[in-house]
Amino acid sequence: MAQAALEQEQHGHVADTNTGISNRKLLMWVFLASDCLFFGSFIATYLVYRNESIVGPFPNEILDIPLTSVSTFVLLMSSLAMVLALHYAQKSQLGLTRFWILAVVVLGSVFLGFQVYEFKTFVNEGLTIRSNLFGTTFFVLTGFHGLHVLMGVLWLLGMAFAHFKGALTSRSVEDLEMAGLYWHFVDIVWIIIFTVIYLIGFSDGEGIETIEHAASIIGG
Amino acid sequence: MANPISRAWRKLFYQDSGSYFLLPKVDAAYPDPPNEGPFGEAGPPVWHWIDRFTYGGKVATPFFYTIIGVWLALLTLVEVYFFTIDDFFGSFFVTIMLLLALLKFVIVVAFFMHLRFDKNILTLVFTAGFLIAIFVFVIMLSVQGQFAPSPQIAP
Repeated sequence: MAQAALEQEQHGHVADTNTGISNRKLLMWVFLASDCLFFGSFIATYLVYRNESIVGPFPNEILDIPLTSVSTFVLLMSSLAMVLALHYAQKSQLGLTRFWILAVVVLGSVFLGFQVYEFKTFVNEGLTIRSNLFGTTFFVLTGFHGLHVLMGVLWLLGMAFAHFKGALTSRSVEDLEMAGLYWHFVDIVWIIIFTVIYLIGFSDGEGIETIEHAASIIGG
Repeated sequence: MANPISRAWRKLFYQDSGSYFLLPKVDAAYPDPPNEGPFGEAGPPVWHWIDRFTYGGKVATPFFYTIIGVWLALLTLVEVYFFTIDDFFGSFFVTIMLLLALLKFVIVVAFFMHLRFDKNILTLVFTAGFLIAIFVFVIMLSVQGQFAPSPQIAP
């Protein structure tokens, strides 16, 4: 009872379900859990093929760590802005809610800008999705992540302008919480990608440069 | 509460301060049942200390979230610095980087996504998905021979 009363006080209401959690929220968490599999498979595929390109460019020739570090910082700060937006929505402060949602949209767009710039630079340097195995797995993985970010930006943009016109309701706060969960998930996926693909991948991304190297990989 | 240290402490950590993140200040405000936390009453005393300092319900303040954001930025800086001295860590480099990434992952999931404050069933759902993903990940790398020792070319 004390727990229920505390939740009543903190969240406004307790969902009338068996779990006490709204079904939409539970569904969102199930979706995010399944999305772990989606990105996990892409990351594993990247790791399997990262050093098996016959021709360059190879990861350590082309990945721009300083640029990606900045974009990682931008995405982390967008997560902070997102949680602040939700905080103010729960406090029914519409102006601050909208301000922080727009901050997330701006930071997310900046991140996308970095990604477009990076892709363009790679293409100019000869790395496309068809160049080699590194290019294929890299563009598919980071491209799908970018697509997730784009979806999040559009979702939040719609919320900022269409959803939060009038007073905040418990329904609209929950909508924002769903969008927030999605956005934070996009952030944690990037945390893994940045470490595994960029930082670790750069240190270990030489590709197959010689016949002897190729022979050693195929066990010849 | 007269001395400035006590006042500062209270301002930072207590519910009525309007600052930092909010600790339940009376027994009734703690979760009921008391084992609502991930490890309940089990574990060493230090865990209870961590429990008290991280449980804020959904009433954590913007300052608390900002502190979390600063920690995430600092951890990213540490990662990038370690990257520049990867030779120093040798074969431990990958392990250290993965642990740092996991730490950032857990911080975002626990505090920004509110799993720390929410019902345990959500933690179970997400952890189950994450563990299945890790399982598939490891199986895939194993099948592709990523964990096998590198073949040596005969002289």
